[in-house]
Amino acid sequence: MIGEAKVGNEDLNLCFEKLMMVAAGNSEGVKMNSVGITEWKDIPVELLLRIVSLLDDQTAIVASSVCSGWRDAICLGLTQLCLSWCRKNMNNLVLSLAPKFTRLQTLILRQENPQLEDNAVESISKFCHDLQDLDLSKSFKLSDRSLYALARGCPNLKKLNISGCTSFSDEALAYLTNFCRKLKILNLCGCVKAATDHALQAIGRNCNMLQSLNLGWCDNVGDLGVMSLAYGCHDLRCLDLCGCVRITDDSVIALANECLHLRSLGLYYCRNITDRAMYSLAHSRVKNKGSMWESSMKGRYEDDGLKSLNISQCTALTPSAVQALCDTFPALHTCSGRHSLVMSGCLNLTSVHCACAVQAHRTFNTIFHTAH
Amino acid sequence: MSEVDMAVIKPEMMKSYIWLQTADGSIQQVEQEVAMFCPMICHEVIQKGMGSSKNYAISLPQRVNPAMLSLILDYCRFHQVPGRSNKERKSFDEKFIRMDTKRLCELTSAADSLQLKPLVDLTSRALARIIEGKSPEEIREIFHLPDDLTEEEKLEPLKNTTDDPRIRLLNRLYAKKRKELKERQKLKNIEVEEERVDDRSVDDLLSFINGDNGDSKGIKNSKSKKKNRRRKDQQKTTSANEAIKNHNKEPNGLNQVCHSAEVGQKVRAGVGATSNLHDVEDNIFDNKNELDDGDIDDEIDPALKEKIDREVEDFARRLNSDWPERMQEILSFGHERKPVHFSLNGNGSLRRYANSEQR
Repeated sequence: MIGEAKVGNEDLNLCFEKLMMVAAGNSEGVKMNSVGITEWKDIPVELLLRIVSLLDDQTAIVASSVCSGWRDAICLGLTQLCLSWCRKNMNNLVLSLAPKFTRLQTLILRQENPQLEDNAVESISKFCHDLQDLDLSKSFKLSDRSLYALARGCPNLKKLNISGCTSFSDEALAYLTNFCRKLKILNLCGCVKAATDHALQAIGRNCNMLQSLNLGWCDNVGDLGVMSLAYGCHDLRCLDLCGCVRITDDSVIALANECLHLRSLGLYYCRNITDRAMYSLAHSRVKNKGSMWESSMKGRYEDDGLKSLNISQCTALTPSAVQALCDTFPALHTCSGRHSLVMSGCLNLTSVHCACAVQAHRTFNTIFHTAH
Repeated sequence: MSEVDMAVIKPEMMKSYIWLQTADGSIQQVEQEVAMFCPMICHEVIQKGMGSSKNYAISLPQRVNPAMLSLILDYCRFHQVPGRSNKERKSFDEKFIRMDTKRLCELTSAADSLQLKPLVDLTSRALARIIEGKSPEEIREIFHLPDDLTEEEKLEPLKNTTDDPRIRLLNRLYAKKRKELKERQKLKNIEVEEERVDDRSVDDLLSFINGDNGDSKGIKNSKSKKKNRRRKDQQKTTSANEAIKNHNKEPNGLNQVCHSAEVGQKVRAGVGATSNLHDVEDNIFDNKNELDDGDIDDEIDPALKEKIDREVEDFARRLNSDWPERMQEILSFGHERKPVHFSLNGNGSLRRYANSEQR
């Protein structure tokens, strides 16, 4: 059968030559030189992979179907792939590629319009066990089946983005965290059904290496969840609670006391936050400066502690509390160059300045632009 | 005498040379500063003390033949001079890299074996530029690679990634020709198994037309009429040909705004930008889906089949010869127009059929 196919190939190649678009500039047939390499397949695999890494994702996929040598090299060597350029056929593409590219570590499947379905994610979790970074954002069509599949198949996940996947439930997410314990970065922005206190409790129990969590617009999140998170994930560095309207001071106090490496906190629209939260943050910093002295001795003074804080629309705050916070964390800036303390909509906080802003004000005596 | 002494004396007095031997046995001497630009040679000289005389010539790796060596030494000779500006170096690189693909491959391999990283980067990037945007057949042709993947394997990911309409057409023509050959052989042998192989390949084709995955079960689900196998073959051939004919329309459809807009975009994309390629690619998939759904009631007779075959050949010939001119025409037409989505209804397909009849 194969012999016949090969004969057919020769015949086809000849009549196909006529139809070929591209004249490669080489004459037909394989030339043999007397010395040195004559064929591409003598090039080592690393070199081929280096060249493939310079290609865009689509060409890399095409390259994997050129010949068996390339296919094997690429299937063994390809670790990163992004399919976001695919507008209509992403699901089929994933289904056909997952069995081939089993060494994938990073897979970006962010979609412009939702195409991905559960069978594609199941295929990924069946074949790509090395996966560490998966971006499934805006996959509206996915159901809990996908999360269960990922839990079973991709235990090495460190970075997972399921923002915008509104169909996931908190049971499935909790199940996932039980298996994917190495999670460091988790994006649940907009996952209203999935990000509940129950799920957060599971995260706090299981994902102790978590460093970054985005709970934007998950309005089912309450104090219980965030406190469980704080008690469980001491390494938390970035937490975004924008739009989590049920949060109160207790959450922030827990975070202040438990997550000493917190660098970025988003409390946009958390109307229940009062000065208590601000003072607790400042206080914990002062309290722990002694114990953290050794670690911060190596770095600059600004290296630890809050670097970015968003308290826009937290209208219950007063200037004295926020100023105290700003003074405690030198990395928080209100100056236009390094603006990291965002207070939009807090009209009573216009007098809060960071240290460099005050200096600039004094030195140049210009009108200072308030944070907007 | 040590190499260090040599380096000290060098500027004023004698030029020192390093002896190199390539895999074919020929030995040559090269100025020291030029040869030492290569880390591998540098290592040999310093760590092992080789290269100081003809008898102790450094044996270069097998991948470095004399021609490549001279190229590499040209590169080193230029770049090892410290006083050159970045602009000079860049323009030298651009001129240097202009050679046919085969030599480029050899050069990449040779530079890699000598660990000359800047040259490896330069040649790798040049090779990547060559590979980008090409179909597998073209890549095989350029680099003389064996065609040893089964048809299924080849077609698998291509289903969903091909963006250039020419590539897709070529793929289909290729598959169609193969099928024809096999059928001719089949007539001689009357083997049932071959038919199955045929089906699978055409299945793959049509599954991509349908937008399903490459599963033959998927095909069966989407097709409603399954009579005897021969009829199925003919149906599928027709569907493939219909799809090809649809493509046939597009470069010809200069008077059809939507078609030309699509092709214009495609061609523009082929020239440079790849971002709207995929837009267009998927719109073509859209077309195929609708076309195929209207296909179900097709009855084929040999005369029509002949006509279709002739049209395909015609198109292929025309595409081959007229493409540059057409590109100019189309580019002037299809400027900045959004591709139009064809709605899924009987009218759409019928209209398509009407067009084909007009032809």
